[in-house]
Formats: sequence, C-alpha cells, structure tokens
Amino acid sequence: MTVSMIKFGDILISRPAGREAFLAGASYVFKDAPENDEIILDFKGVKVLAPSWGDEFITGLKTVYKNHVAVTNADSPAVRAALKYVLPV
Amino acid sequence: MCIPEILIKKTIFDYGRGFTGSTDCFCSSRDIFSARLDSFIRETTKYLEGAIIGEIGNNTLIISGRAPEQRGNGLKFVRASILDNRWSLYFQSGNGCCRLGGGSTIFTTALSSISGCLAIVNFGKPDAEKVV
Repeated sequence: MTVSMIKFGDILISRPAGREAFLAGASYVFKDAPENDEIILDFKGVKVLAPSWGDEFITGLKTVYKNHVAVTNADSPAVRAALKYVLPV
Repeated sequence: MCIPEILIKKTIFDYGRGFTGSTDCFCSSRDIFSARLDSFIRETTKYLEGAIIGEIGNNTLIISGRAPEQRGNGLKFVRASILDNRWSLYFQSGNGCCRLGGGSTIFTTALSSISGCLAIVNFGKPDAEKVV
C-alpha cells in the first residue's frame, strides 16, 4: 500500500497536527492494509516535515499496525533531515 | 559563530516587560504561531529553516516523556541542522541557556531570568535573526 503524504499537506509541522493526520489515516486508509503488506509513505510534493509531526504519524503507524513501513520520494532536504530521526535506516 | 551577546542583552532589555505587546515577536496561541510559520515558509521557501522554527516553537509549551513517542528527537534534529549548516541559536528559559554555534553546544546560566522562553536563530545572514 502506498500512501500519498501530500494529502496531509505540503508543510507537515507540529505534534498535534501529526497526531490528527495519523488518526485520519487510521480511520480511512490504514485499516484496509493487508497485514503483511508493506506501507510505503510517498513524500512526493511534501516540502517540510518536522520530526514531531513524523513521530506522531510514523510511530503511531508502527505501534498500531505491524506492517513494514518504508519511504519514497523524500526529495526535500527538510523531509530527508527529519526522517533520519523519525525512521532511522 | 554564536549569537552575539549584545543582541541577546538588547532583546531581553527591549522586551523586559514581556513580548505580549509585540505582535512581531510574540504569538499568543499555537494557531497564530502555525499561521505565521506557514506564511514564512511559503514566502521564503526556506524549508529546513521552517522545520527548525516549527520544532522550537512547538516543543516549548509542554514537554513530557510519554512512551512510545520519541521525545527529544526534535531537539536533536534542531541541534544537528543548526550545527551542520553553520547557523546559530540562543535559547533561554528561566535562567537556563543553551547556545548552539561554531560547532559547539554550550549550556550556561544567565544572570537575569526571563519568564517563558526566548529563542534567537541566526540563519547565516547578519540581518536574519528571528525571535520566535
């Protein structure tokens, strides 16, 4: 399953906003993901990601669902910098 | 290069009675802060700088250790980004201070205590100091 992160906005900042986005994803997107399916977060078009937003979203995702989480199209330096802390390789 | 001492003293002196009277430097709510930050990022296209300001501004009100949140990563991100790009940051809460710049992180105690938090960030240009 590929999730287009631009749907949550191109500037992803703040812990409350990240939590809200995760809850929206849990209600409408991730619940349909097969258990063994990889969840790919597509950051195409996203300009800014703050670690606190990413922590709420990605840690929430990894805690509730057991699927492997991967990232693609993290083209913005600000997104790549934040992902180093939120989703270390 | 660290934030100049004279700028820190001037900022604290100028706003000695608090920041509430200054709409340039004070956001009275999270929504105002978010809207101003969003405008800053869109007008300047300074994305990494915007993420840093966002982390500082969004982490100073409530800090806790709720598992499984990886608290502290935001500040590690701020520290690494500031030092990697040779920017500088002065942060003070009460009389506790943190200075980032010139490749080092220094924790000190200020002579005068302030109420709330003060952050001065220099993104390289001499006129680029921002008080958030």
